[in-house]
Amino acid sequence: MKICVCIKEVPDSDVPSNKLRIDQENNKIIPIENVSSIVNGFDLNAVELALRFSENYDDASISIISIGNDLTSDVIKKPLAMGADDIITCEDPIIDKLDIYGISFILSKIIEKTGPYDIIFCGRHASDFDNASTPFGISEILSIPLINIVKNITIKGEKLLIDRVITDGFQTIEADLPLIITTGSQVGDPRYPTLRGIMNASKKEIKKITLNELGISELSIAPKIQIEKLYFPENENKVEIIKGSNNKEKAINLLSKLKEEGVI
Amino acid sequence: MAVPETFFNIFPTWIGVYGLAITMFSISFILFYKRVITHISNSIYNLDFSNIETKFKNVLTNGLFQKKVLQRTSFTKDRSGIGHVIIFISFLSYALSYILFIFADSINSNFSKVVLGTFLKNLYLSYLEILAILVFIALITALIRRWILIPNRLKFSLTKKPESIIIIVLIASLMLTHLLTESVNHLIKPETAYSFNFISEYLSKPFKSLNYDINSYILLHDLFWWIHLTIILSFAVYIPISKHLHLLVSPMSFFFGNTKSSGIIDTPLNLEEMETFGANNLRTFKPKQIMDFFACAVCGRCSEVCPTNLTDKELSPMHFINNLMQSSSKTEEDLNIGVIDNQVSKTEIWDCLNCGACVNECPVGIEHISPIIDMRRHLVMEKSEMPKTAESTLLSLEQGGHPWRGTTFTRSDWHKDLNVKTISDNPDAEYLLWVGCTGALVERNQKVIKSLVKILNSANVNFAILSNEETCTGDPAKRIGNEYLFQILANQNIQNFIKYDIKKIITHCPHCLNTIKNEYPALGFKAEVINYTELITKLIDQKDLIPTNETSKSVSYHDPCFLGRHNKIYEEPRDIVDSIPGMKRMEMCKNKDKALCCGAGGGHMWIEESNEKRVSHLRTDEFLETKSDTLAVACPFCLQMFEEGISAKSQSDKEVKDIAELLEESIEENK
Repeated sequence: MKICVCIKEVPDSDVPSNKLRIDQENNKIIPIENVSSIVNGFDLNAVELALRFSENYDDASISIISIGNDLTSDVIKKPLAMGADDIITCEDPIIDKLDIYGISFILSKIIEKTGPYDIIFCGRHASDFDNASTPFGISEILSIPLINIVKNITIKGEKLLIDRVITDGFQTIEADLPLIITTGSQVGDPRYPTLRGIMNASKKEIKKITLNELGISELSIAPKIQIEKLYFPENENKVEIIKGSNNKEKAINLLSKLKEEGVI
Repeated sequence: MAVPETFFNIFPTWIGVYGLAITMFSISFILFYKRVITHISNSIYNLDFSNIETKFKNVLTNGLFQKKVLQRTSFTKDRSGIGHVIIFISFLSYALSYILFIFADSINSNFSKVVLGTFLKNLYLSYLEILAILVFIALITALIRRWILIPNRLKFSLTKKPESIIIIVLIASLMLTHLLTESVNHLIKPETAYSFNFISEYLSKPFKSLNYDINSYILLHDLFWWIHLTIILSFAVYIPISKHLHLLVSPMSFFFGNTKSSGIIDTPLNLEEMETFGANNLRTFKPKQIMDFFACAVCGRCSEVCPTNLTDKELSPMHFINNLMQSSSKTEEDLNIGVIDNQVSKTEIWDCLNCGACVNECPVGIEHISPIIDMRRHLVMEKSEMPKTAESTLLSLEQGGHPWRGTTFTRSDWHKDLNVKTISDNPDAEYLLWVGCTGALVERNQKVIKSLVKILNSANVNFAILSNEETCTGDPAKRIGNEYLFQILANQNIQNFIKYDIKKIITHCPHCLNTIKNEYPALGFKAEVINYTELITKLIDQKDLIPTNETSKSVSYHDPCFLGRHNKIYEEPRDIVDSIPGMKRMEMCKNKDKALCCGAGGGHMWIEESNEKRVSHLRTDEFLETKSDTLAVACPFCLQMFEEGISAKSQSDKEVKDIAELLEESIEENK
């Protein structure tokens, strides 16, 4: 059973948002000093579900795929510490400027080159830009069916029974391999790596593939979507304390205020 | 103690004495070896013989001079220590007498007389008789305490093991047979009677009234003598299989005990090469920890003071140690199964607050925190099994370098409007002020640090801070059991200290103090690390700080565990309170080394308590009993715990303040 999980390195989502700064000229977030990056939370849920799924097979292997520019090896190796077998990356400055199509295309090419995989896991979306479209892009390019927001997978003979989360409940789907699965927090917390896992991970080499080796030209992935403007929403907190000598007076004042504003 | 000439005319006395002694001592040794020594030698860790001088000193003061047995003894409240000392002195005195009067005299009946001289020998024998009476009194008191009066610490059923009765009966029968032998001896050899052995002389009267012939008296004397000898030697066999084992093992526990601060958790430097992390069976516990399991005399002192036991949690240190001792009776294969979930529960392991109250009270030198941390290490690093709150703390430490997940502050926010320089701006600063994560990132605690900075500035102290370059000391990671993460964080800080050539550090948080001062040296960093209360006391003494503003507040000071018990700083915070004009200082019922924990130690600032009854609320009640206005603290965790405690008890007229805040109010100008 060949499994792969696509992960993304993102800025620590725990950092207070008032510390974020925007480079208005290039429409980019300026990296925050002293703030480490992390593996996108939903991607770790995907790793966790992949690990649980792999426990059903004696011959299962889990490969991690990650692309970006200037990846932090200690960060992206976390899935290895959790129990994944190997990691393949493609790093290039151009990746920073790509749109969904370009990202999906590179990931698909890596999947083709290092695969074929029986099942591909992705986080439902990344915490930095919330696009939630890369898994769909891979699905489209590789023509592999996708089931999103999966909570649990059980094996039923040759087929899989997949529990997915829908707006007001759960749905169980029967599916064949190969498949693309996306995950959210419903999977449960990703396992905390053991020290043995961390040490094993630190010894493992990252397999690096270049865009050249993938046969991808800059032109073929030129972005079709441009970010026009990146900005913080303007927060207007207008609070007015309605005064009055007693509760009745306060209520009357509130009512007249609401009428004045045309609310009622 | 006249030696019989023969064993009832069957064989010479010395054959009986040495035959019986060799047999019984061999059995005793085999039992001791199998029960204790094999486990110590099976441990994958070696014995630590460093600081040998301190080790001998610890054995002398605590073993021979019974310092820890007597530390809480008072004639009005707790006399049990006196009883123990009487029995202990008798044990030593009788043991010496056996060497002289039994083992030596059975070979040459004049030996003791030649060595001691008649006068000294008679004096010694009289002394033994007086001791026998004192021991009787001590034993009766022990019986009354254990089964009638029953103080708190003896309410645990474990303290009432049948072993206690067996031991009391054995000691009593030893004393009785000794006195009987001596009494009858008066009737056999009246010429040897001496003037001050009045006890046995008095007891000889009923025997005299029997009017037996001399041979019957000799038979009776020999009978008592041989019974006495048999009881002594049976005792030797009983020691290794009962709680009386503490007699042999507690000196070992003291010898191999912590020779530095009780706040130190060991720092293994070879994590990468270790075959296993932490401990889960007798092979993976350290030799000293194994000794501790066997040293326990189930006296209940630890559990009586343990904050988790006082709040009805699963952990009771005495039961915990005793249950770990039980694991020694397992077969070789069972040993590999592990003690966690079998002998002790995970809840017990996570309950511990590392406050050190148990360690401080233990009269036999047990260090309870050490095996608990090693079992946490096993759970975290080997199994990655821990409470969710602990995991979340570790993740925050890994990702953000601090335990305050979700904080909206950075480490430079609090000092934006203050006159405080970073070390890169003031490289010649005399002191580095170590702010700590809580002081920098939690709004309430930022106020305390701001007060401290104002105090230092008003005394013209030349100090600087690391600001954004500071990282958690690693203490929460270490206490939660992630030694690996601790060492990563600690080494980051040490690199910074070296980079800025730091020689003197002032800490606010006592946990940071303990870690940098006591635990960083194992990683190769040593500096003069002091707590802010130490520096401020010095500044007040030198008149660099003069508290002037009067107050009418009454204040009770709570000793933080890592400042008080673990680092022995009790007086400085009190001196600061006393220096404030008009401030009335009061004491809580438990203070100084007896102070109750606030509930936040051992990582519990972030780990949820295992039941509803909160340690902080128990301590808050003790504060409220004093009826003072302010609860003064010197630890950022204590501050948070008690503010919650006071608000949960709806005591809005009471306040919790750090010593720094109280002092700042008194030196603040324009007030």
